Amino acid sequence: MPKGYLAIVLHAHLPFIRHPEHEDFLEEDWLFEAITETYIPIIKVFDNLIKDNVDFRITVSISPTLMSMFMDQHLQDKYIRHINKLIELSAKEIERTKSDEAFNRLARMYHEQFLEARRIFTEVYHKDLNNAFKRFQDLGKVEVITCGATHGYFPLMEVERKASVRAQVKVAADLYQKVYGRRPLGIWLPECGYNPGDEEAIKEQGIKYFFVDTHGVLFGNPRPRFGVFNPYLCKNGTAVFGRDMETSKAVWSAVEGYPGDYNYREFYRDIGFDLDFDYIKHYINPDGVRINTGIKYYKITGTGNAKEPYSPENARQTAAFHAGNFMFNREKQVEFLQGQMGDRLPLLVAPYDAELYGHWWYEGPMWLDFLIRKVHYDQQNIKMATPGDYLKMYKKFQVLEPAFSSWGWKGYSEMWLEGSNDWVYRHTHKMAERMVEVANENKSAKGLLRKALNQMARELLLAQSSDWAFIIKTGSHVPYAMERLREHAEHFNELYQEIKENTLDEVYIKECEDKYNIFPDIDYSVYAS
Amino acid sequence: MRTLRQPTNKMPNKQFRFPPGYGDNKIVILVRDPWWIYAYWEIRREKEEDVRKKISSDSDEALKWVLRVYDVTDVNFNGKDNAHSSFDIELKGLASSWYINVGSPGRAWLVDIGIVTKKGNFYLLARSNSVRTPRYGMSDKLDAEWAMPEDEYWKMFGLSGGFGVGKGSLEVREMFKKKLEEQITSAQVSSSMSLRRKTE
Repeated sequence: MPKGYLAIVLHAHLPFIRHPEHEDFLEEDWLFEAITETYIPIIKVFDNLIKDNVDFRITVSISPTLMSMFMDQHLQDKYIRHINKLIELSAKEIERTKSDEAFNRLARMYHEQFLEARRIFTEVYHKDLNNAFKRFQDLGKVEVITCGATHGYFPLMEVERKASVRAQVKVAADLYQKVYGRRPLGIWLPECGYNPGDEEAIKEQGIKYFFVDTHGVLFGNPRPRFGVFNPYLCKNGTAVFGRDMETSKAVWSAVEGYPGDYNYREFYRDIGFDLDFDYIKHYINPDGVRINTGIKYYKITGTGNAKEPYSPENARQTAAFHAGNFMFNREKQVEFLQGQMGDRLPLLVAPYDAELYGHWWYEGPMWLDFLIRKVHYDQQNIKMATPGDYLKMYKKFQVLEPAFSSWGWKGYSEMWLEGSNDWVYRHTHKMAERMVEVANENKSAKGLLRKALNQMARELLLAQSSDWAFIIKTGSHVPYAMERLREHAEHFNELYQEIKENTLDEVYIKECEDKYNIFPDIDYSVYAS
Repeated sequence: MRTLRQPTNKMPNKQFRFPPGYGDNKIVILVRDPWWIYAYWEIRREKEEDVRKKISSDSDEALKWVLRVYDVTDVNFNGKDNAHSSFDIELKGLASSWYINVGSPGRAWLVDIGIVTKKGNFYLLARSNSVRTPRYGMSDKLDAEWAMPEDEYWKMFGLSGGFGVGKGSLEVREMFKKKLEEQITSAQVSSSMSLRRKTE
């Protein structure tokens, strides 16, 4: 009998970036890097656990934009080209480093990893990584949940809130159903952004639970009996889980977190930046902008600039040690909670961005592998569970109104609403207002008009991605984010105008559809009241 | 909009700019955090002229543009005198948005934009939606079915926040505030893969 449960939640998201009009496109690489460095390594971990008969339960949220990019043939083909180039580059690296054993063995390691990534991508999962997660879900190992359709930040959808949130949730749940064959059990609210009342849209789609940050539960009303160590029910019956801070800190914290260990791989020393331009030029952006290739030879080493070669053996030992430490602390945590939890066992909810694992924290997937095996073999105090599992264990939960909150900087909306990006909302709000207007004026539209209305819904959803405001605030890749906002507003407003003036242009609609082809089955009437 | 795009042009069309306004007469408010809200607005010229005429016909004179911020917590605001309180912010220059320090979590707010006259009267240009600032701090309301001693709540609160045990309520409150200030999240790295490259 365990003393408590651990729910690890990996939230995987990237904005929808697809540019068939360009052979190479800098921001498309985000997906390719994440496939090689995060998604495939995590898939490998799960595959190996299943092969070794190690039971586990973990929750993975896959944003609908990411799900859509996984399914997109154009991006799949581009990924294969991308990984082929990395295989070629790493082969050259084996040659270049042949006189230096410390580097040469790393070059071989990368070469093998890239070959393996290509094999898993093409042969095992037939180019669509949804196949992997669907398999894990069907085997009862992973609870795959959804997210807002385009990762729109709900708390700032103040104009036409109901329709805007409903569309974000419904489009997401419908896509999930198409790909995973059932309604999603849970939803990861984009940026963990919760606005009281949004649970109505969640319930409407048959979704049973969502998450909030720690203070979303602690500041809830009435006073929560079990802190974040058990879910609550909103008044409409939808369950809400709060993030456990201690578990989060262990991984996230820049100071106390594991990823900063000196034995781990240094993210910022990439051969894309370090090597001679002439040597590397075919493997970076064609316009000469240096980029991360993923081939990195150094360990963090220390706080200074002098870096030593990475040692996979030492890093592996460190990851095993950290996994043991993490497990030990979770055991202590649940032991401590004994006697505090009335009739139930505590649940520790530990959500992380999936892309932290592997991409930023190279050893993250390995750590996860060690952790799951240790939890399985080495102790009996904690057991892995998903939110769905936990909800089945008990019949009664306290009713709570969670508090408005997010997991962003300072815990509320400031990351997405400050001097640099606040101008965005007057435009996306206007789009939402116009969307509801034309959806109501044109119920059960057909033909070209229907196509135009559906495309307007796509453009609005894409404009709502929290990523654009985030990028504008952080200051990197700003021109791209601005261009995307501008472009979606242009397409949207042009179509709006043409509908109003009855001057729809088939060619233009087709151009927009080809360029932003996400959510092929979208139905604009989700915006009608 | 149509004139901005020739049908034969290849997308994207670099001509498009976000319009400075949409010809609306409105003000919208958003919640930033428990203490701050954000307002943006657009006032039609005709609306302003109408109001100015009205002011003249009342033998008065326009003095300044203001945002009048009402605390409308749990009241059905009648537009006049049933708000709990209100305060004015004088607008300077050509502002079309403003961050308003309302200073109170867990309250409902509504903002009027308008002109204050020499005689001290307020003429409305537009009225906003109403929003509620997030509740901050542990609720005073107990659920009889799930009630327990005060200390026990604070213990759970401290454990949930990752502050350990044996902390007093004031201490936990302070630690929580600090936690939010430093919010260790992912949202720092979440939205796109390569953001840290330039911020190392």
